[in-house]
Amino acid sequence: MTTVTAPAAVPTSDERIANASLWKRLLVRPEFGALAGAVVVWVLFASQARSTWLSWPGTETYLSVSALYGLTAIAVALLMIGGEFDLSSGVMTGTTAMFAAIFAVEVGMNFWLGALLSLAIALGIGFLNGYMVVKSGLPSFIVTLGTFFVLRGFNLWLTQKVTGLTNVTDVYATGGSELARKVFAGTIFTIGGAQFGVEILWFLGMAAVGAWVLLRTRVGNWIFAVGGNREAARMIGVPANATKIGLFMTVALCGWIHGMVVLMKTNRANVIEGVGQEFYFIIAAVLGGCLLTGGFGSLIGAALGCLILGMTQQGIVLSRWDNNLYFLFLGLILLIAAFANEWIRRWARTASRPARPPTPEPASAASTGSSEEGAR
Amino acid sequence: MQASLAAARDAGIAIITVNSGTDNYQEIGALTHIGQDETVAGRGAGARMAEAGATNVICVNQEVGNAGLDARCNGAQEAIEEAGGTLEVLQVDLNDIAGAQSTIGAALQADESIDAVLALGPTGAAPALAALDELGRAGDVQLATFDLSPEVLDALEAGTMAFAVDQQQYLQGYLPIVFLSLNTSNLNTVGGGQPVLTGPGFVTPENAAQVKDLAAAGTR
Repeated sequence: MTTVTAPAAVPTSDERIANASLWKRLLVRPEFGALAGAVVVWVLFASQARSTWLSWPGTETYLSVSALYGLTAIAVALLMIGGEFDLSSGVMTGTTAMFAAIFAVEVGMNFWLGALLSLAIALGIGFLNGYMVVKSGLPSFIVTLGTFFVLRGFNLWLTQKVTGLTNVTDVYATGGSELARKVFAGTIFTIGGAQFGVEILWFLGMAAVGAWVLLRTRVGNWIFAVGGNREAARMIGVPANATKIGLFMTVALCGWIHGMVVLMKTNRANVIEGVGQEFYFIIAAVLGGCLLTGGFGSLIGAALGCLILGMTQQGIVLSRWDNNLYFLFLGLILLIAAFANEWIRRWARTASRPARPPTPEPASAASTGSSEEGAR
Repeated sequence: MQASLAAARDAGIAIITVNSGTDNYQEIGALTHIGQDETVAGRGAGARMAEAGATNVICVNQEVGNAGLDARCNGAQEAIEEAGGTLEVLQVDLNDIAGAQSTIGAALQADESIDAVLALGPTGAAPALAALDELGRAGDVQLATFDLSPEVLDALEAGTMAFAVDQQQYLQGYLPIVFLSLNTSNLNTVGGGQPVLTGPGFVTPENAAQVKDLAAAGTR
C-alpha cells in the first residue's frame, strides 16, 4: 500500500536491480520449474483436447489421478529432501490394501480393525527400512530395493496361501466399510456430472501439512539438515537417526493412506497393485525440484509435479493421442525438468548470492560443518 | 517339456495338450489339442458385439506384451471391421487399478461416440465397469469381457455387462480324460488332426444365474 502512494520519481536504477533479483529469486526457488511445467502442460492439452480438457469431468479425471500419485509422492519428496530413497513405497500401497482386505474379507474382522492392523504393519516396515539404513550406513537405494522384493514376494505368497487367488474382492461387503468408503473414497461434490473425490482433499491436506512442517517447524529444519549432511547435522545436535527413521515411517503412513483410498475406490486388492509406482513418486519429487543428493526441495513443487504426471497421463488419452506414448512423454518431461533444474542452479551459482535459496539455519550450518570436516 | 513329451510318445503313451499349445501340439505328436484359440475367440466376441450394434469399440489391454491378449484384440478388430465398425486398443496399467479406471473414463469422454468396451479379462472389466458407472453410462455403453469371475457374473446378472467369453476350463479338464480313455479302450481319435475348441462359449444376462449355480456346484 505505502509503495503505491510513494512518489514515483525516486531512484529508478534501484528499482531495476530489485526487480532483477526478485526474478532470480523466483527462478531459483525449487518449485518454480514445476509451476512453469504445469502451466505449459495444461496449456498444451487445453489446446489439444479443448472441450473435454476444460469440462468438469475432464478436470476431475486429471485431478483425481494427480491426487492419487500425490498421496505417497508428498512423503517421498520429504524423504528425498532428507537424503534418502524408498523403492518400496509403490509396493507398500498394494501391501497395505492387501493386508486390510485379507483381515476384513478372509478373517472376517471389522474393516477398521483390519485397516488399523495394516497401518501397524506398514509403520513396522517403514521403521525397519529406516533402522536398516541408519544402522548399516548402506544406501537406502539398496536397502529398500531389498524390501521391495521381499514385500512383493510376500504379498503373492500370502495372498495365494490365504485365498488361492491373486485378488481379494468384495471389500464393500465387510462391516465398517461403509464409513471407510466415505472417508477414503467419498465424493466432495458433484458438478457438471463430475464427482470430485475426497482423495483430492487428502492430497491437498497432506501437501499443506507437509509444507508447513518442512518450512515452519524444527522437524523441518532437521529434515533439511540430515539431507544436507547427516554427520554434521548430528554433531550440532540434530537427532539424525530418529529423523530419518521418522521419514521412512511417514512414507509408510502415506502409503497406507494411498492403499486405503485405492482399496475403497475399487473394492479390490490386487497382489501387483502399486508395483512400479515408486518411480512415479520419485519423478514427481524431481519435477518438483528435489535433488537426488538431498537437502533441497519443496513439497509445493512435488504437488505440482504430481499434477504434471496426472495431466500428462490423462491429457494424452483426452487428446486422443496414442496412449502407448505416455511413458515416452514421462521420460522426456523428467529429462527436461532435470536439465532445467540443473541449468538454473548453475546459473544461480554464478550470482553473488548463495546458490541455494535461503535454507533454514541448521542446514547451512551443516554444510559449512561438512566442508570443514572434509578438509581435515 | 518337449523332450519329456517326445520320450512319452516314443514309449507309446498317448498325449493330448490342454489350454496352451495350439501352435505346437502337432510337432509334439499329440492326438489333439483342447483349448480356446484366442484369435477365434476374439473374432467371436467382436462379431457378437457388432451384432448388438457396436460400431466404435475400445479394447482395454491390461497386460501389455501378452501375445494371447493381443490375439484377442486383433480377432475382435477383424470381426468389427468386417461389420463396418472400428476398434482401438487402449493400454492400461494393471498395477494402478484406480489410474486404469481414470484412463478408461478419459477415453470415453474424449470420444463420446464410443459405444462398446471390450475387456480382456475380469481385472480389466472391473475398472471399465467402474468408469462407466462413474460417467453414468453403465448399461448404455456395451461392455463385454473375456473370462469369468464372481464380479463378472454379478454384472451380467445386473445387466450392466452384455456378455462374457468363456473358454470353459471345465471342459479342458474333462474332455482329455474322455478322449484318452476312448483312445486306449476303443482306439478312437477325436478332432481329425485339428484342435478341439472349448471356446468361445458365451455367458449372457439370460444364463448368468444358471452358470453361477453351476460354478457353485464346481462344474463351471
